[in-house]
Amino acid sequence: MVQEQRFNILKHVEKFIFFGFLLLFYGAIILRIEHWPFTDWGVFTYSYKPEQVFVFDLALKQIGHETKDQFLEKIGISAVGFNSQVTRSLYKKNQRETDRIVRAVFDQPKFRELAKNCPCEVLLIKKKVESIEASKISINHEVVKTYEFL
Amino acid sequence: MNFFKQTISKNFIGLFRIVTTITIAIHLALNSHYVTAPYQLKWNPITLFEFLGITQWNQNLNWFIYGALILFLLLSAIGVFARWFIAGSVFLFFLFMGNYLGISKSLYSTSVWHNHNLIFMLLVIMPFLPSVTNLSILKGSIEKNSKRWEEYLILLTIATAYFGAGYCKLAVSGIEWANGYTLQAILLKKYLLTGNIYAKYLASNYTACFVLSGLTLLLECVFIFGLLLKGWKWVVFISLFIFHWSTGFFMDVHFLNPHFLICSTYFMTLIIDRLFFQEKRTRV
Repeated sequence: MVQEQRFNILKHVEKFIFFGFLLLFYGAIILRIEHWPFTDWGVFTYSYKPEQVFVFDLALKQIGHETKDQFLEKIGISAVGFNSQVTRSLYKKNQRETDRIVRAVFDQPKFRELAKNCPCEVLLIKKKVESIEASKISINHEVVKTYEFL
Repeated sequence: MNFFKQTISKNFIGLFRIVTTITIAIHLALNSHYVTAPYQLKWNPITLFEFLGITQWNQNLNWFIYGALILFLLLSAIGVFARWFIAGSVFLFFLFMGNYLGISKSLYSTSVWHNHNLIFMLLVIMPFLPSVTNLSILKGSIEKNSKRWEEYLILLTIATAYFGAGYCKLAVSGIEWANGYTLQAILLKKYLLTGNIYAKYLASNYTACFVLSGLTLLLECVFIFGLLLKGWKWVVFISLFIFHWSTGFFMDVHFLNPHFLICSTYFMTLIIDRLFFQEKRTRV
């Protein structure tokens, strides 16, 4: 009798575990709870129009040399992370935060190595797709702000 | 037969425990930057740490947590008080990875990378699986059948990662997400940021973008549940591999390790079980 009761309770415990976890995990998705350790699966969720795509990047401008951009990944900084931080700070019109993000790049040893012996200007640029024809993509560069790096 | 009474290969869940805990332990051991990065880069506490008032501890303590976590995983693998050491691993992994994820969190956002979520979720469910203690160095093979519902819980946990992504796309953008232009825009953005020429070539082909967007939503929202169907498991597994390889190649979104690696532990378990345990039963 006692064993039978234990068996019955066990059956319910198994169902509770199974459905309980499914409710927890899938409920977190439905309710869009996006904090660790729950999901942050909501990346790439927004629909975009290609002609409205723009990104922020840094470019090194040195007199007598070609302007160099797309160097952040080479010095160990995530270009995606940099872009999202700058986009956010500019969207909130927080110029101080934008300057802080850019100057944090200057502190990186690999950046100093890249820009050594060079009185460079560092340009915060906005890159936007101008046109796509066949497989040729033309990009527009707009300087948002210039920083001195000595 | 009642779903909760259906049994599967006796040692399957115990074997899953061994394969998964060892895989996680190896992954952590090969990535000691998880220990040091939070002390070298800008760190913002994740939302749950802020809520619980957890402040960043020093690097020496972080090394201790790291070592303890690997030890707990290995003890779980060999079956020494497996249930308790997995539960301990859950707690330590939450702290350890929560600390690490502070480097990916912007001051103005609650979002962090999610490629470690599945490790946590699989560790969380394991102590609650009745037959997880099968196959133990202390007790050998225990006479407790693994049940179908335990296997399905593992598979449905793996499926959350993909369903979550697909659901969020539809919840935020609706079916417009799959209009081809969104994928084109995402690829163009990648090209602008990192100069990935493969992203550029794919973005230039609107038809390919349209087809791939639709397939992505189908895979994430519907096809992923094919993991529960006997004849479709491996088809889904290969599709997921191709999907992750493609996002790595075209979009520099590298989820083969550790996210897909952890999903793969289920399939590694299937192979090992078939090779070493099911054969044994036939011979006997």
